[in-house]
Amino acid sequence: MATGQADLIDSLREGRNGIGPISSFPVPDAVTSAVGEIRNFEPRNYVIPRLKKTFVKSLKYMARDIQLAVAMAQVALQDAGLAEGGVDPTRIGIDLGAGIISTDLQELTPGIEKSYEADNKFSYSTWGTEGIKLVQPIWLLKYLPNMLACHISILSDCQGPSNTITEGDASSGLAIGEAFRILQKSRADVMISGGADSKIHPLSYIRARMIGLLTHWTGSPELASRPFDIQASGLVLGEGAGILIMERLDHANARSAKIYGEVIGIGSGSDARRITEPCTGQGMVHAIKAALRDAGLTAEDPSISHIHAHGIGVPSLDAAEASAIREVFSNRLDIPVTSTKGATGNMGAGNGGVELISSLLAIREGFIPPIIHCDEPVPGLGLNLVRGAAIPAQGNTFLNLNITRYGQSSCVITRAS
Amino acid sequence: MRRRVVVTGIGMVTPIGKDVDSTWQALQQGASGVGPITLFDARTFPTRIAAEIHGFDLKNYLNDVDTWPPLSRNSIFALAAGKMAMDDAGLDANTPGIDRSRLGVYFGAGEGQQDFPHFCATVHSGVTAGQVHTNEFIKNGLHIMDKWAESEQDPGTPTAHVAAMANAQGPNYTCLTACAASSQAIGEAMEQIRRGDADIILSGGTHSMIHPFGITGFILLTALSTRNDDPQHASRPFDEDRDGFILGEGAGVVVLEELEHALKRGARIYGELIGYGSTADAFRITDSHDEGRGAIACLKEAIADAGISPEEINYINAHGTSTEVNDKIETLAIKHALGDHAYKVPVSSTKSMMGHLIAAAGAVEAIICLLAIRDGIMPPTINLEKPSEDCDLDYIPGKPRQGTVNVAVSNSFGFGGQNVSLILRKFTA
Repeated sequence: MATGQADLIDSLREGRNGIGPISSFPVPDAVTSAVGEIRNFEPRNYVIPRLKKTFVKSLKYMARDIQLAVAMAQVALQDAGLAEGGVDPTRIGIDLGAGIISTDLQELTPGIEKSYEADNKFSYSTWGTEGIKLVQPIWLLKYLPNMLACHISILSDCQGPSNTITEGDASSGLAIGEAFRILQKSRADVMISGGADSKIHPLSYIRARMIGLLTHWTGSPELASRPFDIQASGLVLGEGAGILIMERLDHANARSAKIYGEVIGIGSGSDARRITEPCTGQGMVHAIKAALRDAGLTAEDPSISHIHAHGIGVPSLDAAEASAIREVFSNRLDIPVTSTKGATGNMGAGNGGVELISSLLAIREGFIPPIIHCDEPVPGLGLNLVRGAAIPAQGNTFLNLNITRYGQSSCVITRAS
Repeated sequence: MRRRVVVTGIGMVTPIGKDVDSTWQALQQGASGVGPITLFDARTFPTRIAAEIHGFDLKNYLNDVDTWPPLSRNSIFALAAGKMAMDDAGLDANTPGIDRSRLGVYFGAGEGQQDFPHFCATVHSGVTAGQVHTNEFIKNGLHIMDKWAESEQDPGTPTAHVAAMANAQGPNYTCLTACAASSQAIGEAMEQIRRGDADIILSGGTHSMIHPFGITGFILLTALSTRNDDPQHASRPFDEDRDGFILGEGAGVVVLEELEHALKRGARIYGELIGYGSTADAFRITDSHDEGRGAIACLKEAIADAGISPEEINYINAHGTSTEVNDKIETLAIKHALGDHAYKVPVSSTKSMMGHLIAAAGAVEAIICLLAIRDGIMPPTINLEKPSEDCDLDYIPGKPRQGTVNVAVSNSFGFGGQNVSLILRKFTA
């Protein structure tokens, strides 16, 4: 949908759309062609000159998820004035959300094909003797979820606390919460947080469809991602990275850093239900309540301008999320609720970071970004959905919600400066 | 004063025992769980040995197994160890007086086993002239692949299952920092309880990488032992003839509980979790920092967090993978962080017996520390016949050691330069 701040602000204000037919690889008619794809992504363009050579050399060890994260960490560090250092390396850490990184199919194809015998039977014996050798030595490390953080740590010398949260679509919301805890306890002065993920992969298509999450939309691909809309039938695969530089206030003030906003409350919860049962939203109720309590706010607090919902366009998840919002905000059902997934699709572990940044930038400009493609809300949701066009923001505080298909939920409350 | 965190329940499933007691007995006997791989046909693989869990049946742990969907090895081990730990702590899904929104789960879990046969069949079905055609791959995959196997690959899945089993509606986290993951989970879960975000957290890890892709990945990194003709002696941490690690599998779960909460309900206390360190080497994706920079900082951070002096440490359960680099650098790091005291502290690697449980390793090893504290017995490093030149600490070779353990340290280090240390102490009010 957008690259960089100014572009993102304009896109959010105008409700621009990032969904369209897939260009990365051909897909069969059995699945939708609609994706939220980042086109012409050139990772080396984001890296400071001093690191360019090292970075370019490492690119071959980086799956796309890693490239997205490392590039956006560079952008964020530059924005914070920290790209050339300025923090004690042992006091800068990383806590990122990451997804399952699917292997490049072509990388394994020669080995697999070698191992198929004439009768179409796979031979473990041949795989063991010849197949393995046809895979590049570093293969495993290219796809480990913690490599997003590790490559960033190596490139920018971040020796502090390091963790990678792998809890599906809630990953970066949870990671931001953890980075917040780490800074509050002064285990670090600066934390690189947020997350990155790319779901534009043939295996992601298969998984999302088999699990029953992928949209069945057959209309124009541009309109496929439909949060809270009556015609929504599932998610649209997307990709993205949203990286935040989080910093202890005293540390930021001491170096006169530009401050976008303050994280003031975090919460997490779970439905604790069998994965074969429908999502209840109970985990989200706990997450929101915990975050409000942590922030010292009630749901009625007028400083709360809006809720940036997960709003993934999977009807059962949207309904569960709506029910959680209704329960906690029962005395304030007119609170504006938005979701930018209509424009981005599902960025998996990248969601929370991108969505927090989106709301933060928008609210600093005085508006709440709209949900696009929610032409007719599901009846009975009982939410004040911001549909179609941006509205003016009242209040400087907002909630970011993210939820997994299992009902694992995160809530982050941020106040814009 | 900060909230104190104690352990009130433990559960584990390992290659040398399907519960806590049998694992603890086997550790004291110096038993090895390593043998030929039976989970798939690895007879021609450069490494064809591992520490597998044989004859595991979830029915021995849960009485409602039939009501669960098909589960991966990660999930069955997690549910077994999780249930064991809950029972041990006197908790279940309906225990009265437990605020479910303050009962959480924090697991370090690997990605689920990639469904190798179906994946390969799908690739093969989509190949023409050596190239995969994605439209064919997707179309065929929808019929060839298995829904539940794909669903289970999500690392957050065991966490979701365990939350359902325990009716844990509080904070729910899954992390994956390679071989440091479950130690990291326990450390961060402790921080959540300290901060007041939860009162009880089921924490730990679960993992099995004994599948064709897992073995392939580590073979390619030349990380595994190839001592195929002598499996029981293949995992030999700190030994001159060590040649790599042995993959294990399993799960370890601890019930972490805020002290007052535990005392109020009269829970048995195994020990107190008092220190946690997490650092990054920021060096290379494949190797540890050559002077142990991250590991040293990590140990020091944990010691500072615990508010103890290094001299108080009585036992270290080492990461001790049996690779050339780890054992050398870990030894160096212990010496730097503990000074002269390093030579007086017994250090052992239980991976010599159960292999490397990867994301589950740290949790199982933290439980071993608690048992050492409880019983005053430190498990040995087996197969340590001749320490290599740069490994000159007291590694408890061969036989267990008796002695009071008030304070124990568990180290975990992961690919990419992830370092975690946990410190546990005998509980005193």
